[in-house]
Amino acid sequence: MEERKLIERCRKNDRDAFETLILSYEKKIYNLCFYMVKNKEDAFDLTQETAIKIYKSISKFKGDSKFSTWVYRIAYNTCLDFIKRKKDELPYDDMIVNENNINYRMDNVIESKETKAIIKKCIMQLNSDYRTVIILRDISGLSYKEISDILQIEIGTVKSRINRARQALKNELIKNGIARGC
Amino acid sequence: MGEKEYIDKMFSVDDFEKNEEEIEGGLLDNLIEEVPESLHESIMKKIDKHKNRLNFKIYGPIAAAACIIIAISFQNKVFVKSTKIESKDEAKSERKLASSGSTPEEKNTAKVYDNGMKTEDTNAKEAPSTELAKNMSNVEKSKLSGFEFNGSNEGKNPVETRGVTKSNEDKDQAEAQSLAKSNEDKSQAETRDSTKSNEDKSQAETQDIAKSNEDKSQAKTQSIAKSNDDVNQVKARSLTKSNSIAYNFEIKLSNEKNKDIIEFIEKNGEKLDENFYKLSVNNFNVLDEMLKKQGIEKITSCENIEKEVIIKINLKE
Repeated sequence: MEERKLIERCRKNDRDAFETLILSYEKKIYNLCFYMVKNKEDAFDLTQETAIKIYKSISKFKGDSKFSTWVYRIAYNTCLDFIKRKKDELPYDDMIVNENNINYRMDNVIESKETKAIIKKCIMQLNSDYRTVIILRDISGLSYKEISDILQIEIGTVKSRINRARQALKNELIKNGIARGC
Repeated sequence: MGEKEYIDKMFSVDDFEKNEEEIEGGLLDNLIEEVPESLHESIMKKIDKHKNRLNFKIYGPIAAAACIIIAISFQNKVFVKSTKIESKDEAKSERKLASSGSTPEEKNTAKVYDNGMKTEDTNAKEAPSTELAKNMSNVEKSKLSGFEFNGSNEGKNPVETRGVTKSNEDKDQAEAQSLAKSNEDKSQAETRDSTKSNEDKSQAETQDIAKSNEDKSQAKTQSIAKSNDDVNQVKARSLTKSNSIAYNFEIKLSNEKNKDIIEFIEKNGEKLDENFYKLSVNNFNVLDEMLKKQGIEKITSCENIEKEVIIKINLKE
């Protein structure tokens, strides 16, 4: 069913329509939350919180932007609020990578799983702003315009922030033993 | 492998600040985390919860208001029922008392009136209500059925004293302080406030005088005084059922000669029953002046006037 029709039905408090709609966004919301707060449990809670916010305010969605952008913005703001509440830098829960177990040999082909784990770990080491743009651009594959709408910043700012984030990630990768030719 | 390509591209760029070559988005989509299985379920649970809460917010006040209305109406029904039961019980107890006769203490304070009774208890905080209770057998014989108690019933239940009626045994009791008089004996009761006889030789002088009609069958009825929802109202002015109405003055008027007076009464008074009108004290004073001017006499039934005056008009053709 078309997203627009689902949205219309959701505006009329159609629970089933909302279920269908949210099903296609749960993963995106959850991932954004996970990479932003660096914790699965919190990401779980924040996804629920975001879903309720969407449900409550879907009647206010005017359709000026893409619905996905609107959803991402709600999720992003929810995470920001959460981070503000927590204040302290959230510890990376370490479930992905156990640093001690990684003994990379640069000249060998690293298993795909390991590469993924390292990259994930490196992303988690970035600061919140860089991490967010990396998630939105490199993981979720959003356009600059969409990122600009979500973060409410200029496209130029988005681009430069992405470049700086990538530079930071590259440095982290190097620190973690990943170099060209992996 | 997206991530390998991503890393390659990352390391192909020396300085990202100066780099004009774009790295396409979404190369790290393999890093997308799988959603916990219970996530969707818990989201929908929360949504349902929220929806219910929202419904409660909308319909809750309506439901609450409905409940209150139902509760109030139910309470009223119960109250009315209990009042009825109470009045029935009172009537029953009065009948019992009437049939068994009054106690010695009551003898001392009983004042007998024709067809009406009044009770007063100065010791009691709550003034007793006026009830008319009759002993059927005695009424048949005597056509008298009223008592008044004047506050000397210390420690007595007002209900008990209230409900005392005239009986043949009362004759002996009335000898003590108040004399009960039956029609058969043709004796008149002496009271503190004095009584007057009406055309039926029986008029009661009380704040609430129950006037009996000439119909014997009605005189037989045990409970003439009808208690209202509010017992105090009964006390204040108990209008007896049917054509027994307590009145303060009786006036004999001519339909032709006293038209102005009749009009005045009809205009300013409240018609209680046929020939019975209720007037305010002010209006009654005006009426009194008119009566004096026209030389019409008033037959006093009860001078105990409070806020309103009830008059009975006897019309002559």
